[in-house]
Amino acid sequence: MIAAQSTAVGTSTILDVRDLHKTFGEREVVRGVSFHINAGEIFGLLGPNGAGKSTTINMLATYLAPTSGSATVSGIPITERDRVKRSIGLVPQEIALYEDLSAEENMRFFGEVYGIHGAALTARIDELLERVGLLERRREKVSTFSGGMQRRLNLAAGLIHEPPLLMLDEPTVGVDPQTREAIFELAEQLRDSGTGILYTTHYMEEAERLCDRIAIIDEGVIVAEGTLAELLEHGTAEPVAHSDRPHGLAEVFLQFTGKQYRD
Amino acid sequence: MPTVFIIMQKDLRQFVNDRRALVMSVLIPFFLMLIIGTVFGSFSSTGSTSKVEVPIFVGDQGAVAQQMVQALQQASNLTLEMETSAADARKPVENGDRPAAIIIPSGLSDAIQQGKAASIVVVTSPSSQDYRAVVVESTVQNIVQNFTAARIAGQVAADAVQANGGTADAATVASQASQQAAAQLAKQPLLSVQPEKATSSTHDSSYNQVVPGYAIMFALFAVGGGIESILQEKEAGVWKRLLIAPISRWSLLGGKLLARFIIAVGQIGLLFIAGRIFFGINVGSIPGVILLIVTTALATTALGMLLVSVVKTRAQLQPVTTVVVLAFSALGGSWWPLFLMPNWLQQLAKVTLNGWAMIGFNNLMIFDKGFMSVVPSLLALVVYSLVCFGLAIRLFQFQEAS
Repeated sequence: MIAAQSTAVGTSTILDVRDLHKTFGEREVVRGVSFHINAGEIFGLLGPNGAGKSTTINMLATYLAPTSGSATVSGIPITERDRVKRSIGLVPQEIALYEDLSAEENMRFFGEVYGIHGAALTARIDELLERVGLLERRREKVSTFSGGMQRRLNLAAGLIHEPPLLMLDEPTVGVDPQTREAIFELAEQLRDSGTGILYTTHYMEEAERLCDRIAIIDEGVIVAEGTLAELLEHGTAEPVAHSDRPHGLAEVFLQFTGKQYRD
Repeated sequence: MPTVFIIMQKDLRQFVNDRRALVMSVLIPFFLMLIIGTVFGSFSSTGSTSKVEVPIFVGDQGAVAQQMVQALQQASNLTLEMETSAADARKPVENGDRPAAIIIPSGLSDAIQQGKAASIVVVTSPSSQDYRAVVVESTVQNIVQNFTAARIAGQVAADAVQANGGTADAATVASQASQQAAAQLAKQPLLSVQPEKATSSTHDSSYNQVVPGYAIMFALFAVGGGIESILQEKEAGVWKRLLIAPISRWSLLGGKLLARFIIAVGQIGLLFIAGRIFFGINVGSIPGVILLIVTTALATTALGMLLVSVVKTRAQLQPVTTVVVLAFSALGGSWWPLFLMPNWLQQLAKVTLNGWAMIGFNNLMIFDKGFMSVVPSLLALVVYSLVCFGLAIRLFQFQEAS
């Protein structure tokens, strides 16, 4: 495994994960995952299907309780669910919105759930809808939106309470290049403003472009972690056969996780 | 193979592969046929298992009265329940527990012996919808007519023999007896049936049954559909988004149930208001009806919660909801008055929330019994709700195990 060399846990750490395990029955899905994310950093968590990415995210989002291990968000243990929830934003893979409500009604509902009300909520809704290009369509039902618009609103809903840690679980599935670019730009703006982002994707070029550091997880274990440069440097040690392309993250990913199906 | 057959084959394979749909497509209709067939079967007045229970007071110990009682006991469609006073015989009919009562007044036998007119009183249910009252009345009528005919025949035969001193030939005696019998039958009969309605304060408009019955049935459908939104949210990921938000799980679930409860109260309430305006239904005690509507809505919400706790997907919920709603409606008196059903079915109806609600609504709206008559139904519906909520809380899964 490539050890993380570029950063260390420090005062700016937003997420600190240590030896996290999760077992369902007799099946151990996550087996001692450790990593950290600093403020203003995009951390990519890559892995084949069934590698343990979603289970890890579900534990960090307080949706699932870890079997063992620990994690803190802004210094608050994830076991203190009521306190830590306000520090976490999750944008799930699914379009987790009410289709029969308008964009604004969705945003208002999720804002109120997080305890934001009145003028502050209205201003926050306006700002976010503007940023995802949906201000003009604010009163239209989500069911009338294209897939890309729904993805953008899904992202905006996860940001309504300005969380210091944002988890983006495959946020660009099924979107056109324009929406993908808009999501990238928004993620970069958030990073620049100090938000720590945990980003999962199956698209290696996205991780190459966005992520400051990347971890590759396979069968519940992080098998490689480092900056893109560190991973590529390691990957060149075992070149991919029959390939005349320069090594990229995809080749490194396959080196660590193999080519056999995992689900 | 032509394309049409390729598509047909694929669709059939999909249908067969969905074992649940396959089983449900047969099981649901069979289950409903069984329930509805059983309930309809109980309406048959000629079946050996569907005797009508009739309270009877025999105030006369004379020969004619005993003859009447014997004939009634032999009637294949009646089961007599001996009472010690006319009031005791009337009471279960006035309460709606029995469709009819028979009262044989004192002095009946003496009156008949002396050639005076007398009558047997048949007290019938205030509801004109109760066919069993007609069964009882017509049975008593037949017995009385047979008695009258036999008595006239005997009397005229004896008179004819006496008038001819035993000398006339049989044909002459028969001819004279027939003429006398015809003349006697044309007169006011000695013994007759005197029908009497139990009380005059009942409301037998069919809407007093149909409005509450169908309001409850559609509230059940609506709650089933509404609770389905929890499964929809789980499937869409919204549920997960809410579970990681800083709200308690019970606030989340409670909020959804509260919305469903309010919708159910509104739906049933509006149907009652429409029933009052357009069909002139009788609501009896207004506080009683309001409390019944509220507790019924509570019970439907609790039942919906229980259903959503035991099924995993929307595809599973739909057939389960259909079976529960239709079976509860058939058994619980939403489609026909519970008081028309035999006793064992009336008891079985109490397994359903419809049964308890309809007992209350019938007491108020048809029998005009007042507020206190619905208290048992109100308590039962609250207990019903608590049991369903209790089970649901134990079974409900906020998150699916991965």
